[in-house]
Amino acid sequence: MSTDERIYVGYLPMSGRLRTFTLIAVSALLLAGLVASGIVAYTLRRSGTGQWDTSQPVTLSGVARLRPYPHLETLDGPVLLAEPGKHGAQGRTANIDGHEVMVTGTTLMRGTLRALEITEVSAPSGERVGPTSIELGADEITLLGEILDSKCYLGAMKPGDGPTHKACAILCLRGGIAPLFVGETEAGEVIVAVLCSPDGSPVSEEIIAFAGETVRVRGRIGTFGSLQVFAVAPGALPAAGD
Amino acid sequence: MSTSYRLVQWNTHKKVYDLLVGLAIVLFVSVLVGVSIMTSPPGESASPPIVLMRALGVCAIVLLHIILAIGPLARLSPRFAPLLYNRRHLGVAFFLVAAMHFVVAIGFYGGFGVTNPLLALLSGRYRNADTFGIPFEFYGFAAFVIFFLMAATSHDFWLHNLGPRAWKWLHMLVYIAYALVVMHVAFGVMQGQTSLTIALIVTAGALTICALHLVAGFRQVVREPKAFVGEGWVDAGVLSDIPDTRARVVRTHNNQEIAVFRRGDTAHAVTNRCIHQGGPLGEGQVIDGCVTCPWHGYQFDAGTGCSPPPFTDRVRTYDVRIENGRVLVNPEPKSKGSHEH
Repeated sequence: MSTDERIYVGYLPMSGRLRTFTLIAVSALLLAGLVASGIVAYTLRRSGTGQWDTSQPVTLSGVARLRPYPHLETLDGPVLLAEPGKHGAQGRTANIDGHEVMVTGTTLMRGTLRALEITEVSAPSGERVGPTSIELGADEITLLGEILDSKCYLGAMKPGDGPTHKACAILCLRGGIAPLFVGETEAGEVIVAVLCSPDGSPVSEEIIAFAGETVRVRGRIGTFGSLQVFAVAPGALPAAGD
Repeated sequence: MSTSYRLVQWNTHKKVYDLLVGLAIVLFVSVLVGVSIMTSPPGESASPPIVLMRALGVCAIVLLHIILAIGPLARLSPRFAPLLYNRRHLGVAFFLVAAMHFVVAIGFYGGFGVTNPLLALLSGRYRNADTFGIPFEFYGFAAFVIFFLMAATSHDFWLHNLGPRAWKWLHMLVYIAYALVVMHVAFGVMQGQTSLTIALIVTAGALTICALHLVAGFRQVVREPKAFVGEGWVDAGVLSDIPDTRARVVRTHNNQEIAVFRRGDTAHAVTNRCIHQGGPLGEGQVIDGCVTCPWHGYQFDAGTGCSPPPFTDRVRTYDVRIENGRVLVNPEPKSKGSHEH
């Protein structure tokens, strides 16, 4: 029986015609898979403009603030502070709240918002600077957008938003990383602000659970020192966005 | 087959097959990583672990589609049999790629935090009605558990210990796992997209798999003769209508399938189910006097149903007689198969 008449048996020689067909079939499968995958890869190519420069640690000086979330008030504006991994810097800033310090770390940046992943904090110097209070606008507004963790949004993880990032965002926020609200007003104005409670304290666990989803949130825009904040009442749970 | 134990019965085809699969996976992942990075606007590329995780995930899904397509393709045309022959190795390779996707996702999304990485991913509190309140990661994890069970039991050791029937049922769970993978994508990465591209590709893939199975199933129903109802010998048709060394499958009144092989002017009848993985012996051929299974080349003497020495497996055989050029088969087996002792 010639190999051309025989069925394919793996441990016997393959006929020339079957070998050619198999080669064509495998090539076609490979090509189809590569084209489909290439299209998927191209579709997913944009991941935001956040940048994390891990090559060169920088040292910044300013007044450390614990509330609403750890940050450094510098002459160039506020810099959010975070520990390595998915941990906030509450532990390290608790004892230096209101003091002038030098903080060394790697910079995360997106637009004008900056953060520092801390590697070292100097001993506090000088007298304690008085507490900063929260100042909120009189009117409540509704924003449509997403609750994010600031570290990933600023470049620690790209993309650091959307449903695939939800679990990571919740993990970061539960770890104490400052939450951001990135969204638009009804008039179309883009808002990027640290999310907090109206008294300047951190937001509740219930609100954190909405991270990674497109939601409508009602609250008031304001400032906490030099930090732009969006204050949401603990009971004002976000609603699903359209 | 039942001779001295070897972990893998390697031969040239298996080695070439595995080498090509390995190279294809490396090529796939490299191209996907390259396309992701090179087509991203400056500074907007995804983080390297995310790029790798996506590439592994897409590669795994493509491999899963190929694995699911090979079966019906081989039923539609025996020319696809070389792809089917070593499918279990392809399955294990797929599992390893899926496992790498799983590890990178758990490590990067779930790691570095205050909670156990796996719990962190599976305990996200979802309210979105589109996801039934279940995190999309759960669907991927459930599919991964099934793939793990399949990969862990893929060796013939488990086939023999679980029995072909239980083993086959376990491995049929791949279709549930496939549905879970589609949900993992649909409620995960697809939710964050403004374009329909990924949805269209996933839909096209699912429709292709469904269509191939439906067409192959329909062809099989049409190709097989109607059940022969009634007692006594079964008429398998005119001997000369059966191509030499090939078979016609008949079904008896008690729903047994019998493969009737022609060898020149004589005929032999054996069960249509191979004792190895239940392969369709009737789609095989008599080679060197042995009925040869089209799936993995298991052989059984056409007359006795016994595997050639040193193997000791055997399949059920049936008496045949030829009257006026027609083949008649006694539906009562004259010998038992290996798993009936």
